[in-house]
Amino acid sequence: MSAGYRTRPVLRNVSLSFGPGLHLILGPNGAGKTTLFRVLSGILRPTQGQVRILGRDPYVDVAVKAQVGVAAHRAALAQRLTVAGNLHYWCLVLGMQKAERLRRVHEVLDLLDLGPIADQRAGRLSRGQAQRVSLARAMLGDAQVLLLDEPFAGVDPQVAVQLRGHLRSLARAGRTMLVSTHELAEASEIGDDVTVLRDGRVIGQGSPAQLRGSLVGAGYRLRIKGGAGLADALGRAGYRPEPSGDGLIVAVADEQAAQKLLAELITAGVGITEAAPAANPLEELYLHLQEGAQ
Amino acid sequence: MKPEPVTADRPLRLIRALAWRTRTEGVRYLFIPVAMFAAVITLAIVTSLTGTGHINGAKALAAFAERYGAHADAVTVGIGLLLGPGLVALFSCMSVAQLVRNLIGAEASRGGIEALLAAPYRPGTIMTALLGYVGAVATLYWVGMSAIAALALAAVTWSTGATVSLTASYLLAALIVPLLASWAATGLALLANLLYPQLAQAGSYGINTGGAGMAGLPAMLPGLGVLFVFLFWASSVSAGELLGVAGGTVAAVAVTGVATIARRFRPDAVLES
Repeated sequence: MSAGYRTRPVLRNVSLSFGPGLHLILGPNGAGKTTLFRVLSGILRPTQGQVRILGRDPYVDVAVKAQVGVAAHRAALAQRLTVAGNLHYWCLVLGMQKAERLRRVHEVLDLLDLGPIADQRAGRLSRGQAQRVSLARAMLGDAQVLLLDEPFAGVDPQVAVQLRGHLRSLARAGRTMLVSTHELAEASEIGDDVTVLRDGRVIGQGSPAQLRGSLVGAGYRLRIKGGAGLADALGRAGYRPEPSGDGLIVAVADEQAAQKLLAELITAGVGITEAAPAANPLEELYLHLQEGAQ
Repeated sequence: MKPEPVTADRPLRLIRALAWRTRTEGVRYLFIPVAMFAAVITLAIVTSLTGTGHINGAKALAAFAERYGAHADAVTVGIGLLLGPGLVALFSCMSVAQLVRNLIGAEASRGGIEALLAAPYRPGTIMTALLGYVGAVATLYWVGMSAIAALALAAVTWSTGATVSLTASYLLAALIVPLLASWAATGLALLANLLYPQLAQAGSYGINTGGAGMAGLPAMLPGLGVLFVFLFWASSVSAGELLGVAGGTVAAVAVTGVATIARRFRPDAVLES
């Protein structure tokens, strides 16, 4: 499907499918992550193609939106209401009766450890606390699909660890969760798979390891001594060496490829300065995307 | 199999939620505009009755009018009868503009409208609910301000020793036209904030454009219109004609505003802003 706004198209011919589990949506600013979430949550209608949530079109069949919990980038809490008040308000928006409302609010407060701040006004919450309340609100309807737009943005590391734990347990419970994030260190630890968006197009989808191989080839990084002649020879062999100081850097997909190249280089008498795994495969991936966008 | 969740797509459910939020946030805040109106009216009456020869004192004003043959008491009460409905209309419309700015403009910038659009409601249902909620609050404003205006007129009448005998047609015009104006303001405020949401965003047209207040300006027009119509026409046309012309005009504005929103509202316009 394709989607966008009156004055600008954003998503172009995107074709995706997600089942139960935790799926990461990764991409630089303006890649279309938020627009994708707006289409999936039935706020925007695709300009072309179709979207199905549990087999139904969320823009037309609004009842299915009750099965989709959304925590947008902005927490959008009522500032003068307490944490519990915000959750009660949202239960009323969802049309819950009083008994069910009380039960659900109690459950999500417990689940996300929000009990201690339940009576605190939303206007006085820290960014991390507001994000947790936003997540709690998304879960009030016991939704099978959760869309979380940058839940780690501005959250301190301790809260991020807690949030990560909550997300993992929700995914284990069989929910389908889509999480967009710029926090790459977090993303590499929690996702079952990653979908990479750039300029409104999907440029990769798979596990972090698969993407490492198919998109960047940066699972291992070799720093070697040599000049243009060696770079040409490596290029003819299918590698993409990049100049660095008085040597070259060669990125390879995995450990096996690194061993093979190392053996060949040693046999050829090339000096090896460093051979190490890439610090963070998603970091490498993201940098690659940024370079491409520029 | 898991039971199908309750379908929430009914305007009354959303209005109920908004009413609960209003009550929980503090009903007293709802009546701040009414209190402001009461303060302005009180200030006007006190200034008028305690004036000692200055042009803004009621006695001086009456004496000024007597030069041209008008009876003093009648002039004082007449000013109240001419200004009262217009002031009620103007303050109601200003209050509605402020309410809609909070409900749409401020909520949109915090992501509240996006959250509502992601809830199990059609955009049309959300618009209907917002219209119903703002219309109900506008009616509350009108009730409170009309009561205060009536009390103020009674106080002036009593303190000046005047007697008035109002006709049913004047009462109808004085009550109904401001109510219609506040409903027209509801339609215009929602129209401006939903169809042109940039107007509600402070600074979106530069630093010299009045900021977020621009979206509220159209909503004040019905109030200003009623003020001027009562001030300049009420003495020369019958109350029935006033009700027909002014009431008909603001009712048409209200209907046009609502119809335009229903036809042209697109969620992506609010999201883009």
